[in-house]
Amino acid sequence: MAVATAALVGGLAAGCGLTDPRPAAWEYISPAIFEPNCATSSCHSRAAAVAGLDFSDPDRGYTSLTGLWVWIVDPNGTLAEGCRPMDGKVFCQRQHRPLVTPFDPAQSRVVNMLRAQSAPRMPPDRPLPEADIRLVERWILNGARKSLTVTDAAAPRDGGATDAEAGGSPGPASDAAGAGGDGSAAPADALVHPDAAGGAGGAPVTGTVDGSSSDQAQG
Amino acid sequence: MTISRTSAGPAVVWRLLGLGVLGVLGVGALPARTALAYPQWQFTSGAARCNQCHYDPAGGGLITSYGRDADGDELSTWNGDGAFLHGAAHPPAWLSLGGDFRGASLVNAVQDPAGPTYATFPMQADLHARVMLGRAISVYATGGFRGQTRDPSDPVPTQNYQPIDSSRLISRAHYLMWQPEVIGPYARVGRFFAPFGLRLAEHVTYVRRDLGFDLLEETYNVSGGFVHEDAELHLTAFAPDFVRHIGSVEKGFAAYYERRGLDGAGSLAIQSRLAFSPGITRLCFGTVGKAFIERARLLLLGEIDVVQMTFDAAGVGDRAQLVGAVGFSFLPTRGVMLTLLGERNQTDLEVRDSALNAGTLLVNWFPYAHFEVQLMGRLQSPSGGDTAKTLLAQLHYFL
Repeated sequence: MAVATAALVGGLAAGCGLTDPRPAAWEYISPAIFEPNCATSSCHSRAAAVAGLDFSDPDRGYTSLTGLWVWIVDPNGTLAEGCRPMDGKVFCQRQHRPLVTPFDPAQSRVVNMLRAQSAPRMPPDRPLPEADIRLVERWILNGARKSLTVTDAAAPRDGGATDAEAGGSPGPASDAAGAGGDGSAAPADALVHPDAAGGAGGAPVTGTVDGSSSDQAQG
Repeated sequence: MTISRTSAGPAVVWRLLGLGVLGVLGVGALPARTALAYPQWQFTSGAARCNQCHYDPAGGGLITSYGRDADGDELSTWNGDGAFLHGAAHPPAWLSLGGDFRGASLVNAVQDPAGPTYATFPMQADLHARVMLGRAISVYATGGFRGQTRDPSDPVPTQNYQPIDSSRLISRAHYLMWQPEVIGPYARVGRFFAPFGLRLAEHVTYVRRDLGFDLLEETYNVSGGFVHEDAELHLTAFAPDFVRHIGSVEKGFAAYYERRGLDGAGSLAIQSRLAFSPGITRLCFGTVGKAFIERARLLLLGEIDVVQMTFDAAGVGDRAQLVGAVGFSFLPTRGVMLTLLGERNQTDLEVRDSALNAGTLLVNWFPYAHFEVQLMGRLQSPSGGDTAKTLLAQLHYFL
């Protein structure tokens, strides 16, 4: 009881701050926000994978958001390119517009769904708290990368310093540099189909916006 | 029709029936929507232990003959016979059978552009069986249909991930238990929810949904402890569903210790849960309390948990989450139970507007043995967001 009381009091006291010290990183967002809210047994769990989306762990969740592929009817599709005949039609696998558009939260369908803006509300039973949605937006604004970078570490605290700049634990420097080594986004973050290798080239890491608010993101 | 428990013929029939039902349920025959327990009955019905009314040491599922008698004689407005099939059949002492069936209508308004959602649906169809194998060993199984949002008949293999199992048949709980006496030590192995928290029937409550006890998140466990009149202890090692991979992917340990007092009218529990899953380790500490004020026919109940989240990725650091529920149940007259709950789930203790707050009013009416009508009104208000409104009506019948 004492532990709980102390935690509650501490929580209320600490909760008075309006800044968000959490890292805008998928390694946080997936287990703390997406998995408990989206990966319920009859929705985007491994068992149900509704709409082909599985948020049951960070890897599957990231692929679901950034590497959406769909099977569509293509009369010109051939077996040689992996198409499949079914019910008298030919279905081919094509890359679909991903649910996130790196660096552009306003154009990211997942954000529109979280805010129910011209899209079905997700989660359908309970909207997410504003701070959690803003964190997702910040992650997208920073490039929607799979791995934490120094620039993702935290939102500005009053003076604008990030957690990393203020002494927080930075992520691996190699992540910030990008695994491509040429200034392009790391292949690890590329839009990768689970059954396919390779992926699209990403946008430059340099020039990412650090810790910007959702208001800025929404323009 | 009454089947004599003393004649040899029916005994064979019951034995075959019991084994058959267990076999069918064990491989996942019919679904499961909720773990059925009413923690509000503790102290208010004269029972201090969950296993006075349930075979499960921690409550939920198939009810005992004591629970069936209480349903007919004490809990229902117009009595009735709470026995299996209303007393029309009498299984032998080593066999217990039951079932739960629920239908529901729902209105859900979450400020969706398409407007509120209206739905009427079968909520639960479960069968339960328990077979005693000697004096101290028993086998328990529940089976039913699981709910599924996606249409499994979709012929197009769309998109990235496919459901790992299209079958809607599931066994939510099945376990082997050693328990020489109802009072005393026990051990069990199998699939069930680790004893933890208030164990409310409503899986949408934050203390269930956000702590690893949502719908169909029963884990495979090795569990044990003891149940005494004034205290109980449950220790559980749990792992994900390795058979069909449905539900949580967490593995870890859970502990729950409850001490009863206030002359049998209250309890206080401490609990902890350590769960490992990809990318994160959750360490939860919490407390659960209940107190029944008989003069006012009021049961106060609450649970609060703090979860320390440690992330695998360097640079993310440790974060803390708060999940709690507090409220009361009022039992104004026989067969009627009103419960008001306030809940909070704060994703991060340092971020005030990362919280979901909820207020829930439950009206349960038990008009006649085996029957229940429930109305639930629920408001969920995310910090800085739109309030979600839910109204649910359900009819429940148990065998």
